[in-house]
Amino acid sequence: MSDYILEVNQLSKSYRVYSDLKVGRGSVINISNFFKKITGHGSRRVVALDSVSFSIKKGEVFGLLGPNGAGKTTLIKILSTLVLPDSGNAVVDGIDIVRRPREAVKRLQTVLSESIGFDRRLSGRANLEFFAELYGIPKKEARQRIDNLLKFTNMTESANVMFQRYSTGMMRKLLLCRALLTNASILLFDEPTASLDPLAASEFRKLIRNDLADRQGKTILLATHNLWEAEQICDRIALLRKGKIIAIGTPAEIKSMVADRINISLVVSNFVHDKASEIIDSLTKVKGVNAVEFRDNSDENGHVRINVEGSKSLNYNDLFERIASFKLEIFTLESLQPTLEEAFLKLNAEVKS
Amino acid sequence: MEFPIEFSKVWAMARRDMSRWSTYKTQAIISILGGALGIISWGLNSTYVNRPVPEYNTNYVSFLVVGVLISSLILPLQQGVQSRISPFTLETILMAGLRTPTFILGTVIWPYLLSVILFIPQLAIAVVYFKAHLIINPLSFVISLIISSSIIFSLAMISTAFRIVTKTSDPVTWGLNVASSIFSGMTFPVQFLNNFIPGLSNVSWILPQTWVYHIVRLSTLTGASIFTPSTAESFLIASIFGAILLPIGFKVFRWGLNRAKRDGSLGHF
Repeated sequence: MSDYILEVNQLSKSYRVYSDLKVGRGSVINISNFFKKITGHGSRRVVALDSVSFSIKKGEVFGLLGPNGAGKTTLIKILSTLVLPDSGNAVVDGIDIVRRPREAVKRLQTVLSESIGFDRRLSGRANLEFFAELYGIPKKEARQRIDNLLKFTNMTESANVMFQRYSTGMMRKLLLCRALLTNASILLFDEPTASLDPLAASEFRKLIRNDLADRQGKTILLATHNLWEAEQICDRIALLRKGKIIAIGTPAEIKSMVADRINISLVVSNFVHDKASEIIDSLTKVKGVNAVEFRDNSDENGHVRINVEGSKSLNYNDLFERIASFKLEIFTLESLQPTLEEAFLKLNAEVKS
Repeated sequence: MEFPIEFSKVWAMARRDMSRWSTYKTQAIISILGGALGIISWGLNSTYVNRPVPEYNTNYVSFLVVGVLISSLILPLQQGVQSRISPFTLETILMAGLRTPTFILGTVIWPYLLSVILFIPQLAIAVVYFKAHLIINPLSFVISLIISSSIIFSLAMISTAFRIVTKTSDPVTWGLNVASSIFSGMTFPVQFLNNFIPGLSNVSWILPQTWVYHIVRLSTLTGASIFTPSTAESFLIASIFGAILLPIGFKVFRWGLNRAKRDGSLGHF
């Protein structure tokens, strides 16, 4: 039995581009275009996904990060069985999504940002009741679950309001309620906070991370182009560029991939100014250290800041042993890492070049 | 083996559509009035040109009124799925893991029920005001409706499949509508076509829609029993059309869905 609840193996997808289908070309029924459309001849293709592979563990929050057109939505739609891949496969809770799509899709729920699918003339509650019936949830159980979900998303008061009166934030919450109706253990989100105001976005992020992931143990795949959001919510991230994964790991791991320099900032006490040059010389001799500087602007407690710049091979043990040998007490220690945005831009540039 | 249609889900879809329909009050009133006015308009026209229709041993008023009623009954089936497919609804419904027959039936069930409800007052108007002379054989009528529904349902699935792929109008739906209006004999007996081109009515008899009108007229205008040989033959041919078209309809619908999934265009309309 695999440790992973969702496995994506060498998934590839390209789309036909019907470049000659122009708006206002003439007749409604264009036989040539019609046959071109259904046979696919005479059209070029664009790659949406190129041999994408990754696995997600149960209870993990996994982020798909990339700019618009990177292939995030295509991947989410393939996993939701709305798009067929050209090659490769994906296994959801042990079920192949291409071979057994109807069973696979029951193991997960997808919150697509653009795919609302609610009846605008019915209330939020009536819409949820309808979907509960489609999911085959018994009436009594459905009613109870809907009440709980509306409460969970703070939607109880607006439950009986017609859907067309909902704000974007409320629509998004109702989408979440629908996704949680079946109590599926895997949730896929495509740009969940896009077009939400900062307050609603923050609330939604907390729902995903704190309530769904941490409290309920759901496995979450989240596609976003919001780097800050990915860093806040995700345990691991895959960076997508033009359909290819260019990096995968925890946010810290991804940042360290581009951190060719390490910057450590220490605030120490018991610094003896007469020994400043000796201390600097000693620390400079540590393997991987490129430069050491201290700022002679000690505060009233005698704290002094020492900045150490080094390479990835920096010997931390030796560094701290030497600091201790001078009887310096570390008051604060700060590792200055690149931001995820810097890492993303750098990795992008590397792949591009 | 699981039964391919989950009726509770079909009923859920019908109830949802009915609830939505009832929220558009103006449209609801107009559709009820439209049904009544439509039959009055056809009734007036046919009364004006009234002539005997020996093929069904009746007059033109009765012939036309029944034709119009059949078309109002079967049209929602033919147009139901296509007109009600919206990209977002389609994606969401498919993600609920519904079986194809459940999805199709659930999509058309409310328009069909509505047309059945509207059919009753229309029938009453036709009989009371336009003296449409109906001789209904209940058993033949019910069987003719079942066979007709399966034929029209199959054609609807085929044209819907192409609609999912082409997104707007498609030649298949267009062809079906043209064939239906010219050759199927909604407003005149198909034998009349031979007056223009000898033998042209043979084209009509290879179209399934013609058999839909024919068997329903047999059971409502002549009171024909399905146990009489000539009627049984007509019903048998219509059933064969239904039996062949139904699996083809499902297959073509699945092809359309898979085609759109391969194209990644399920959500594009």
